[in-house]
Amino acid sequence: MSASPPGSIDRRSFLRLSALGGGGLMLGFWLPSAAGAGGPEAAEKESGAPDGPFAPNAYLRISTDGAITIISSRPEIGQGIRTSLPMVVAEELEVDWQAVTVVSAPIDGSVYGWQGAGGSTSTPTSYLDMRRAGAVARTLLVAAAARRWAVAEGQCRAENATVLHLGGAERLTYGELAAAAAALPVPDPKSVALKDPKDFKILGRRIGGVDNPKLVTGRRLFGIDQKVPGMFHAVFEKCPVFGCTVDDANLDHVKSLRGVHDAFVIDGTDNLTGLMPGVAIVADSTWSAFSARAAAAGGGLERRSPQQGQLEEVHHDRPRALGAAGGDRPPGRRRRGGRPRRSLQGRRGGLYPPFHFPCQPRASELHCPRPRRRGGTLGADAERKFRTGSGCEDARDTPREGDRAQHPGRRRIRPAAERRLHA
Amino acid sequence: VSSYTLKVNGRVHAVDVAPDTPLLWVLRDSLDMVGTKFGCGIGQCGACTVHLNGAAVRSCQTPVSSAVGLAITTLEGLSPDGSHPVQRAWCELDVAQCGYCQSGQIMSAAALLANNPHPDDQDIDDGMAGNICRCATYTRIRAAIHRAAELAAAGKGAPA
Repeated sequence: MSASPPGSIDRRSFLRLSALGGGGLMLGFWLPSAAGAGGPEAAEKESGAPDGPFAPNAYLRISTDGAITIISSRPEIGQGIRTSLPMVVAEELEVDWQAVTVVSAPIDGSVYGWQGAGGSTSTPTSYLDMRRAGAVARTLLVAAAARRWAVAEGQCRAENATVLHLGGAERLTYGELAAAAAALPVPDPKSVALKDPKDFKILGRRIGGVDNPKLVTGRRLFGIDQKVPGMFHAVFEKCPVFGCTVDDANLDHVKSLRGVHDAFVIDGTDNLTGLMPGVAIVADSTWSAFSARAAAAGGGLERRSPQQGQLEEVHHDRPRALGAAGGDRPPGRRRRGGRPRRSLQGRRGGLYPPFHFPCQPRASELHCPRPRRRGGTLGADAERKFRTGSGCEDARDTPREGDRAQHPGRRRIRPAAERRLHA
Repeated sequence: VSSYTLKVNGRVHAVDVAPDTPLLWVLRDSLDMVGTKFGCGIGQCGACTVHLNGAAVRSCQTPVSSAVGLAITTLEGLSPDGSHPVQRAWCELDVAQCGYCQSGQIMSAAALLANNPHPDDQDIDDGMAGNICRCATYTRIRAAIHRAAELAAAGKGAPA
């Protein structure tokens, strides 16, 4: 089950239905919050291309055999969004949650907008849009049934993926109605009736995570679980002290080790939150890469220690300089309001402490499997990836089952490296 | 590089790897069985827990050479269809948050229940002490182990 390619959808319409290749109903819906507060009109103005393709960022799909698919565009990183937002759609759609299949959208910002997670904002900002999306689909399915029976829509009711005729015994399933519903004009989402919350059957109940059955049976779910053809495994041995640079590395020895394909020095970036200098090792298996990294760290990697004053330069002067150059948050007024005079009473001149400490990766790994570039050499390709910290944005090229834990990360540095060095 | 014959989840596999390769990486990289997770690589987190002849071990600290001739069970092989009482209890109580550590949690819990079908809270805390969870799902893990014990006792499944 994979998401259909979005194709070209008129951006002028808030919603649009499409007949699927195999027959059925596909509803793309627009989330204003994902593309700026102004909604489609504002986005259209911004892009200056009024006739360009509309970019919806999620889909609801009902096939003629009755299969109901809800596509989740946000990364699942344990917050449960792959369960909660589809629940909202399913509630208004009037379907049994057990009948819904949730699939992850491919990573494609041009179609789905910002596909991130953070700040606990996904549900509050998407809740109404998701309800309307489900309600629009339900309204269309009811309308299709009413036409079929030549009765008023008010005499029909949706229930459990079926439309019932209140005055008679007729009933039609969503699958039977999908093709007819796809041919109807789409109502304004703001005009469709939403359910009374007292009638909610799914929302407000505790629903287990959609990935639970896969989680408890060891299925391929996480970034680290993904495999792509011709995949290599790369690790990065960074300098153990902030501010160090790589003076020398025994690259020839590392490259001669079993399973190692390449090894090279990365200078790191000037950005203090970016990649630190170190050695990248590309190998044919994780263990080969780990073993080679131990060899590099165990004497092979000569590092130039910070000189007296250099740490001050790294931790204090450079952040200030970067800030002054606009490369970091510059010192200056951050907010208005409050009572700064009272708060700072007795502190003449105020406080100006620009602190900076490089971000450390969390315990979980950030993994970004990606295919080799056609025609590119392995080393050059891997080096580009390490240098730029890019690669995750290319994850859309990677076939996968789910996007759990595949959130973009700047760095893919294993915490074990630090432990080994500091031990 | 040497050849090893391993019995994983009842099936025999032949692999060619370096003798010091941890069982974890044989499972994940050589056999493409990704249910067993890499967490810390130093035996401190429990994410890589598998069973060797029924005993819970850390596969990141188990050289492949020492697993030869033993029955290796991974999460994929705990039950044919996810019906092990621990697996069912984990779904029923929605234990997982991000889920990354839960493979190891489930394997440790299954080994615990195999030895002690009716553990109390202290038994669970002691038996599960080596498995850490950054999402802090510990209270649900404990509840789910109690639930799994009930399910097993009710004859709806047998602990591994």
